[in-house]
Parts: sequence; C-alpha cells; structure tokens
Amino acid sequence: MKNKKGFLLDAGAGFLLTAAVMLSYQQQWSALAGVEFKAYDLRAKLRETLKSPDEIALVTIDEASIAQLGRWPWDRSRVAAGIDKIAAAGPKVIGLNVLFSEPEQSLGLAEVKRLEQRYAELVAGKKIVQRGGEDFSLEFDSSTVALDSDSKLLASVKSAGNVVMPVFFVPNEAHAAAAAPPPEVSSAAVHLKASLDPSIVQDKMLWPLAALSGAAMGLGHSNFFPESDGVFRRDTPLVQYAGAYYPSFALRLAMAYVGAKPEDVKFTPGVEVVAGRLRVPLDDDDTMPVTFIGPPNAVGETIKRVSFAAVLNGSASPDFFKDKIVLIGPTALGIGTNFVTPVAGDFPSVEIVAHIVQNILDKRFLTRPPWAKNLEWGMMAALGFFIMLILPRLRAFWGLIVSVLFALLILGGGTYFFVAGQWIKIGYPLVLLFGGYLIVISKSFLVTEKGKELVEASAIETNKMLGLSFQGQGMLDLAFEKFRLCPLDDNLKDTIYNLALDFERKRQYSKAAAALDHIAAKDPKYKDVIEKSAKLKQASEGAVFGGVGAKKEGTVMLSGGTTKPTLGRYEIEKELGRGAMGVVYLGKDPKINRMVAIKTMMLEEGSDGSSTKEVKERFFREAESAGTLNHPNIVRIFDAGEENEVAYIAMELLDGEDLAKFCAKASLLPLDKVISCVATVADALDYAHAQGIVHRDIKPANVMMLKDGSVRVADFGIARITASSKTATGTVMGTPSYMSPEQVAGRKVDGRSDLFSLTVALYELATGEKPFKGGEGIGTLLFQIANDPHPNVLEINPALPPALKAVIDKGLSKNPDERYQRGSELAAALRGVLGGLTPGAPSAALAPTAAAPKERTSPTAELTSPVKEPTSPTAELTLPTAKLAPPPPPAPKAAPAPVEKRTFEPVKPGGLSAADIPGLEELLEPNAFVMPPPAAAAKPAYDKTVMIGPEITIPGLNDLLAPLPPVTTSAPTPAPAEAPENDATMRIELPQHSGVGRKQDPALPPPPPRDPDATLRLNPKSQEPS
Amino acid sequence: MRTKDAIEVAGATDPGRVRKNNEDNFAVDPELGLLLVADGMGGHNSGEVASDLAAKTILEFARRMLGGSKSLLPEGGTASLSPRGRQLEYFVKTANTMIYEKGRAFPKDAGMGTTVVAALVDGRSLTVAHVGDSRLYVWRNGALMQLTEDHSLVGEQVKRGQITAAEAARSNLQNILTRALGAEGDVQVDVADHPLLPGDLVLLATDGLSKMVSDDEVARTISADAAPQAVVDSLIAKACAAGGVDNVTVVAARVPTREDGGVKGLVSRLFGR
Repeated sequence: MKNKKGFLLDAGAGFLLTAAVMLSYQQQWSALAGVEFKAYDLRAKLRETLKSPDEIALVTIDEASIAQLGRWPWDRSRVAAGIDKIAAAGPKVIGLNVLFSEPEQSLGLAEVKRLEQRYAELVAGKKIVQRGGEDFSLEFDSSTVALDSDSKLLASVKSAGNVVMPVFFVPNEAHAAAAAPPPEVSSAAVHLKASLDPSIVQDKMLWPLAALSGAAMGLGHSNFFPESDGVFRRDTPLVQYAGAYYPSFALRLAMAYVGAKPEDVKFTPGVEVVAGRLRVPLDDDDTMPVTFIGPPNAVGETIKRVSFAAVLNGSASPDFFKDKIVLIGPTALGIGTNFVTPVAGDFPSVEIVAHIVQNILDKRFLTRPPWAKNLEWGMMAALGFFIMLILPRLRAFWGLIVSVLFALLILGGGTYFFVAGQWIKIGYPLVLLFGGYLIVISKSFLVTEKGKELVEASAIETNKMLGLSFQGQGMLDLAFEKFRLCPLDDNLKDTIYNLALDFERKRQYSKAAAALDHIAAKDPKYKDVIEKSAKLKQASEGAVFGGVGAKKEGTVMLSGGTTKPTLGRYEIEKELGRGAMGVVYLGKDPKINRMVAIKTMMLEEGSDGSSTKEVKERFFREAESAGTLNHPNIVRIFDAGEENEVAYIAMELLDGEDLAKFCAKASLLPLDKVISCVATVADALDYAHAQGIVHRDIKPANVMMLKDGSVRVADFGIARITASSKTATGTVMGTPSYMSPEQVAGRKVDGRSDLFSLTVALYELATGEKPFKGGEGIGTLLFQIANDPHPNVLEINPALPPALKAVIDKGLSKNPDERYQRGSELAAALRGVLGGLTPGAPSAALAPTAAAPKERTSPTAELTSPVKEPTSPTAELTLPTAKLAPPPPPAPKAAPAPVEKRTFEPVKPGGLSAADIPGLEELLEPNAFVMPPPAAAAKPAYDKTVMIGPEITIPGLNDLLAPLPPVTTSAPTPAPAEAPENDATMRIELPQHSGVGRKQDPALPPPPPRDPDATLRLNPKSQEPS
Repeated sequence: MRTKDAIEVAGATDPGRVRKNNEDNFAVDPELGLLLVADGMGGHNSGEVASDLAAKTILEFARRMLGGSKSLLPEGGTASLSPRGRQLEYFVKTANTMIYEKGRAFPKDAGMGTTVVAALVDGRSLTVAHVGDSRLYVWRNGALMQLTEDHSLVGEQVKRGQITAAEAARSNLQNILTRALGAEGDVQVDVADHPLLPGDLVLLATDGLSKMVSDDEVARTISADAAPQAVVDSLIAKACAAGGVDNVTVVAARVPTREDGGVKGLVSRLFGR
C-alpha cells in the first residue's frame, strides 16, 4: 500500500537523519559542531556581566605607550623599570605576559664587547700603554652592564619576587621528541601521576631564559587553543609536557594569588583541577569554558587598566596595584596575539587571561552537568522519534507549530541552563529538528503536492483510453474509430494490431484487414501487416475457409444465410428498431408466410417482488387481453411467446408513420384530418376500455397513420406489460408530457386517463404546442399537469373553431369525473366540431379533403380488402382472428360491459330495433364485426349502424362503424337528405352526451388505401426496411 | 481498508430476500478515495452488465487519470465544476458512453441502463456525481443528510412539493427514473463538492436500502464509533429484515476522528482545534 510505503519513507528518512546527527555528536564533526559553537556563542553573550573584578589590574602595553616609548619590543630595561615601579606598589602577584625566551640581541652591547676585546688585544700587543691611574677596561664593564638589560630585568624580577612568567607551546611539525626543559623550568611544573587526555599533551615548548625562569615566582602556559572554527572558548588549565604538567597562566596567577603552590595541585581528568582552595571544574576535554565579562578594551567596564607608559612616568596610583594581580601584556595592535572569542573578534590574550583569572577566583564557571550527555542523547532520541513517526502524520500547519514549539523549548531550556552556568549542547537537537522538519515537509511537498498536479489530458489520451475500453468490452468498431483519431506511434501500432486480431477472431475479416491497412499506410514493414491483410481480404471474400494465417482454429465458416435466427416460430429477418424495453424485429411466420413485427422485451422479477414466473404469467395475461382487441384502428397482436427469458409479441406490420412528426407547427395536418383522426382513436379507445383494457401510454408516437390514411393505435397493453416487468429501479422514460394528473400522482388509472392523454395529443396536433410544456426539470411539467390550467388553444391558434376549445377544455379537466367518460363521447363531440366546420371555413389549417365517394368507405375498406385483394398485405389483418385460438365473442362479452353501465345508461331508442338495421344480424355474430360482409360495408345504410352501436352496446362496434357516415366537410352537398336522418339518429344519443356533438355526426373518411403492397414500417425511428 | 487520509471504507452488496440475481454493483478504491454504487436495469442479465460496466469503467478511468504521478484533467466538461468534479463527471459520462454503445452493439444488452452514484473523498471534502436514484448521504453527529436528489419521477414530485415523501413511498411510479446511464448517448450528471468533518460517515446506497429502511432508522443505526464494515453489514441486514424486495448495496467511508490520529490527535486537541 502506498500508505505504508509513505510511512516507511518518512520513518527511514527520519532515522537516517537522526543517526547522522547522533554520530556527528559523538564524533564531534566540525560541520555540526559549528552549529553548536554558534549556539554557544549566542548564549555566551548572555553571561556577560560587565562588572570589573577588584582583584585584577591590567597594565597594557598600548598604543599610547608605544607612542611615548618607541617601537616594541622595547629595551628590556624599560620592562624592568616598569616591574620595579609596580612592585613598589605592593601587588599580590605580577603576571608578565611577555615571553623572553632568547637573550636580548643589543647592537650596542655587541660593539662594546668587540671594543673591549680589541682593547684587550691592543693592550696585550703593547700597542696601547696603560699608564696607571684609571683602568680604562673598567669602562667597558660599566658600559656592558649599562647595556645588558636582560640582567636588569633579571634583577627586577628577582627583587619583585612575585612575578609569574609564561611558557609557550608551539606546533611541533617534525614531531620530534619533547626536549627536556632546563631544571629551572621543570621545577616550576606540576608533577602528577595521572595521565592526561592526549589532546592536551604538547611536545614542543618555549620557555623564558633559564635565569628568568629561576627568578620567577612561577610559570604558566599562555597558550589559548581555539576550537575547530578558530574561536577561543575554553581554557586548558593543565597541559602536559615531557611528563610534567604546566598550569595555564591564568590558573598559575590565581594560585599565586591565593598562595597555592604547584605541589598542592590535584587533578581528576574530566572532572576538576584543585589547587589549594581553588577548584576548576573541567569538561570532557579537560578544558574550562571561559565566561567573558564583556568585550575587550572596554575601559571602566570590564578589567581596570592603566597604560604601561603611565606606570613608567609615575602617574599611576600605587593603590591601583596594591594587593592585586597585576597583569602586564600587550594590547596595542600588531604587537600581541589577539583571539576571536564568542563575545568579540579581537581579544588580546592578556585580557583573556584576566577574564579567566576572574572566572577562577569568583568561581564563575560554565560547567557541563553530569547529566548533560544523557539529556542530549535523550533529546536527540525523542526528536528522532518525533521526526520518524509523528511529524509525517501532522498536517503541515501543525507540524510547523509543534516543531517551532520544540525548538523554542530547546532554545529556552538550553539558554536558561547556560545562564545558570550549565552548558547543554542544543545545537545538535536543533539541527535534528530543523533538518527533520525540512525533510518531512519537502518530502510531503514533493510526494503529495506533486500528486495533486493537474494536467490537461489531451484528446489523444482520452481517445486512446476510450478505445481500449471499447475494445475490452468487445465493441471493436468503436474502438477502431477511437484509435484512428490518435497519431500512430509504436504503442498504438501494437494496440491496433491486437485489435485486428480481435476482429479476426470474430471473423470480421474485412474489418481486420482495414485495421491492418491503417497500420500499413504508415508503416508497411510493421510485423506482417501486408501479408496478413491480403490473406484477410481473401478470407473476407470467402476464398479461404477455416482460419487465416498461422491460426488454424479448425472451424469452418458457414456460408451465410442457410439458417436464420428464430424467435419462437418466427424467423427473424432483420432488426427494425430499438426501444427502451427491447428490440423490434421484422419477422416471418414461415408457416403462413406472413411478415410480422416482433417486439421483444426482457422478463425479470417485478418491482413488487414477484417472481419471474409470476411476471411471465402476467405478461401472457396482458398479451392475451391485448390480443383480444380486434378493432380496425388498433394494431393487431397475433401472438405472444417467450424464449430464453426474452418475451416477444408478434404484431401487425404496418406501412405508415406515427403522428409525432405532425406535432411541429410547420408540419401540422389539416384540422379536419386531425379531428377525424383523434375521433377515430377515441372510438378505438372506447372499444378497448369497454374490454377493460387501458392503454396508459397514448401519445402521437403511438398512433400510426398508414399510407392509406387510416389510423391505428399501437402498443396496447405494452405499457402495462413493461410496467410489470420493469426492474425495481425502473425504466427510463421520456418526458411524460401526455400523462394524466392521476397518472402523475401515481393513482390507479382507468380509461379516462387515456382520454386525457388523447386530448393532450389533440391539443398538440391542432396547435403544434403541448398544453403542458414543463420547464426546467421534469418536476415543473408534473406540477403543471397536476395543477396548472392549460393555455387557451384559441390564443395559440385563433383560427380554431371555438367548439374545439370546448372539447379540449373538457378533455383536459383535472378531475376525471369532469371529462368525457367514454371514448365515444369524445369522438362524438369531435365529430360535432367537424360538422361545424363550414366548407368555406377560414382556418388556414383546414385543407380541403378529397371527397371521392370511395373514401367514405375507406375504414371498412381495410376490413373488406382481403375480400377484394386477397394477396395484399392488409389481408393479414383478417387472418389472426382465426388464429387467435379462442376468439372471445366480442358481442356477448361486451354486452354486459360494466364500464358502460357505470358511465351511461343503455340507449333505448324507441322504435328502433336490430331488425330495422340492415346487416345487424351479421354484425351480432361473433366474428361478424371483424369480417363484415362486403355488401354490408358498401351500403350507405351504414349510417344507421352508428345508432345501433350504442344501443346494443357492442363495444367497438360503433367505433368500427362510426367513421362510416359519408358526410364530409368538403362535400356537404352530397348528403342533404342524409343529414337530417343523421340528426335524428344522433338525437338518440344526445341525451346521454349533453352538450356535445349537437348537430351532425360527421366523420372524415381517411383517404383510400395507397400502395397496399409497400413494405411496412413500425416506427419512424427504426431503420428503413429494404 | 483505509485511504491515504486514514479514511476507513467498506462496502457490500446483497441480492435481498426476493430476487435471485443481483443487478447492483459497487466499487471502492482506497488509494484514490473512490466510492461508487450502481443499480442496473434491463432484461436478461443486462442489469448486472450495465452496473458492472459502470463500476469498471469509472474505476478504470479513475485509475488511469488519477492514479499516476499526475492527475489528468479531461478536456471540456462543465467549466463551473472543480477539477475533481470535472474528472468525476468525465468518468461517469464515459461510463454512460460505454453502456449506451454496448447496448447498441449487442442485442441482448439492448436497453440496459444503470444508476450510479460515485464519490471521491479525502480527509476534508468529497466530490459526488450521480445519475438515477441511488443516493449519497453524509452522517454527521447523529444526523443523516442526503446530498443527492433522486432522478426519479417521484423524486421530482417530492422536490416540487407535489406529493409528500410518505406519498412518494406509496406511489406506484417509484420505479420510473428521469435519468440513467446508458439511456441516451449523453447524460446530464449532477456533480457537487461538499466539505467533510472529522467523524463524518459517507454512505452510498442503492434504492434497495432507501426503500426498505427509513432515513431515521439509517441514522440511528450509525453510531459515532461504529466501523464502516459494521455499518454496512447492519444496514444490509435491516433492509433484508424489512423485506429485502430489491438488491441492497451499501458503501460507507468514515473520516477519522481526531482521536484516531493518536499523538497527532492529542496534539491537535492540546492546541484547541
């Protein structure tokens, strides 16, 4: 896991850093030691007190002295004179921090010596005669004495008796064995048994002239060993040389001040040096960190001082030196050795000595407490843990806060202890913390932030990814389409080559060849594209059987078309189209050679938890009841079946198109045609509703207009079946513009819902606009359907007859009880409107309709056509009735139809009986209305059957016959006599349909059948049958 | 499983008590912080095919585009969305293309479709994209918030105030979706970004849960310290106990509380956050 890897990375980096810091701490590597030095220096300044110690007086050989007394080095007699003056004031001890390791080389003295020698030679050679009296040779002696300042110094030192003098260790490049010092020197050293740290053993030493050494009160080394960064921080109280130990100049002065002698010195390596009542604590390196009182040359603030010149000319007060440690040393630039110290960059050595003496006498020590090392190790371990395990898990902000807090804690604690005189090394922990923070933060930046880098993916990349996905799903054509959009690099060549292999496996040889050609066009040498493509092309032409190329799959290609796929007993010819529920095929019933449309749908568990078996039963129940619908304006269902969980319904194949295309304003049908069409549909619905079958999905797309002008309602019952076989999640549906309010509310629906939907369709077909357009989102539409009144049709199309508005308004009532209760009522109302349309009606939408007499019979023409043209496709319409195993007798079934009883009372037209109407007997026979005698259909007396329909309440019968009245708007004259008769018949119905269809009951016969042999089309969206 | 932000994720699916086949699918990728559930529909086994294809496609594209060292941002997309939103939208739209084209290419898969709700979560926020009536909730301090609006007819009706939620639960139009993957060549995807707080539980579920177990009951089932796996298991058990008429799929992800971070949490609390 990435998570774990990231953790290991963090912990690993933290561990390495911690280990490096710890090793550096242990080995004192200069890189990190420098950090510690810096931390030391910063804290050292805090220990400055700027308080002058009372015990020390400094005599400086400064610029003023040099200005008065001449260039350094001076004649040693001057120094001697100074010592004399100071000694006279009674100091406790005089520290002469000047090394006189060689006798003074005076030119004058040499000349006097030469003269004396010459004089002696001349006297001996009798060249000069000594004439009694004064002895001239004594003059030489006195001159020699006058010029020999070493002797004067020696005398002064001797007379003072309390002068401490320095020795100096120098680097021994040759590593020669340490030369034994003269006894005067070694006798002044400390002799101890314990061995010292090798680092403080020195092997070359300079000492004062033996005589001076012997005359001095003591000797101390004046070396200041700087750290690796060149800064002097720590004094070395004892240095070993040739088996003896030499105290530092400062320690020796302090010893002399308190009266301690070298024999009193006790030394515990790494702990302390004790000399009498003095105790100097030591650190691990046997050194003593120096606490500086303040910067050098700070007159009156740190060490009290007086110029050497002032001593010589007597202007210095004797009290200044009384009982003090008097330190004499150079401070002027260029004559002494200056050191870089934590508090100042240019510290004269004599002042450093003074500071150290003050430290020792005042016990102002900076010590390493015994627990310091443990604490430092502990801090580093804790910080290592923090860096390894915790810091990586903190967010950047908290990581920073916690790290800064740690740093402040370390700094504050370290400084507090430092000021209190306890030196904790905080440089290493700080380096560890800071380094760890940097590593973790930069790592998280590099790893995490980089991961967030957003790069615009190019279309090439996304096409390639899509192509691969398509290929993975077996959609090779689409994959190839995507791959073609990408530049053909080597990687893609491989991919397309593999795609070609996939095509080949699927035996799509020409496509495989096309894929290979795509590669070959760019790189003909790629693998075997050329040869393989040629073979594949042969294979695609059927020249090669059984695999191509090296792959012998052993299967033999079937010569196409020997067997057709079947569904149930139907041969599938081709696909006609696709719907949400399944595919629509063109099928053929091989037994009777009938072409049918086969609608397939998948069966599975219902949304209410019913099993597949129950769903199947329900499907067949629905299909059966839909199959009982036998009406010229309803698409016939021949058969239903199920195979491999694919349910199918075989239905009438129609040549025409649905009304959806006539819903646009630019393509509206003539108004009379619209009204008659809708009236026909209303009649068909009336028939179906009487059978207890509700369509549920009435919309223009479900009403087919055939090429012969007749109208069919498609997909009866399908909505119910699909609803019952839907998955629990449901199916996707289009915009439910035609839904009724009760449907939208999810309530139980009856036929009146279909009539609402039909009115919506009418509205749209008449105006080109939907009554409920919806808005943003489907919810608006649903709200409108449930609550909003529909816009006034007349405002949209003022040319429409007001009667139509009344029909639409009633049809679109929200309350089902306020609508037309039956399809026939709506049909009648519509025909009433149609009858009101005058021939010269101004409506632009009203196109004159051909009024050929033949048209009047056109609805029945469908029924009778088998008789007229037995071989035409429409003949198929009549066949199923015989085939549908038990054709339920419509008349008996419908006669007691409860729907009708509920909605209106049966008509009792006085004096009118079945016997009065020609052909009624035939109609009353079970199959009569589907196979009416041609003679009956041809007779104009059919007008009367319109009346009969309601009276005998044969569902569908009046629907069947209703369109028959041969009254047309375009030809009102042919039926002046019929009109009153028509009126009379209609009056019988009027009482039940108050306010609707007042005058006539005109129907607009659809145009006569055309191209009856044309191939059929079920769905305008489906493919053109060829 | 935990994401890189220590978000614990778990998911499970169950055919329920009534159906034999399971048309639901889910996917989680802890490294990417991707969670999704899909509820397929269509005949035969197409429902499974569609939901599986949705899950696989989204996962595959998420891994290709987010999994590398760089995060690939597809061209186009809705400009107003955050980059992550645009990526998720692209994944879902790609899944739609795959399902739609597959339905067209293979007759047996014709008309298949699926819902999907997919989310990309990190420790601070989530991006959710959805189509259909599968839902994403965030449980915070005992309250359950539904962050997706069902693309179903009743969902729209409830949104409009035409019917109440109780009426919606009884409506026989519940199974009608207004949007689904695979229905059309292009699909409108709802994408949104939401912040997350420590202790939040992100819950993705198909309607097999929401139809069977009320939101209140779901909220009660989740507790502050329950592990996602336990939440998933108990919710599925409740849906089955309530009848389990549909497939149930639940995916849950828990944003770590401060206590989860150990010392980090302690430090965070010390500093009053």
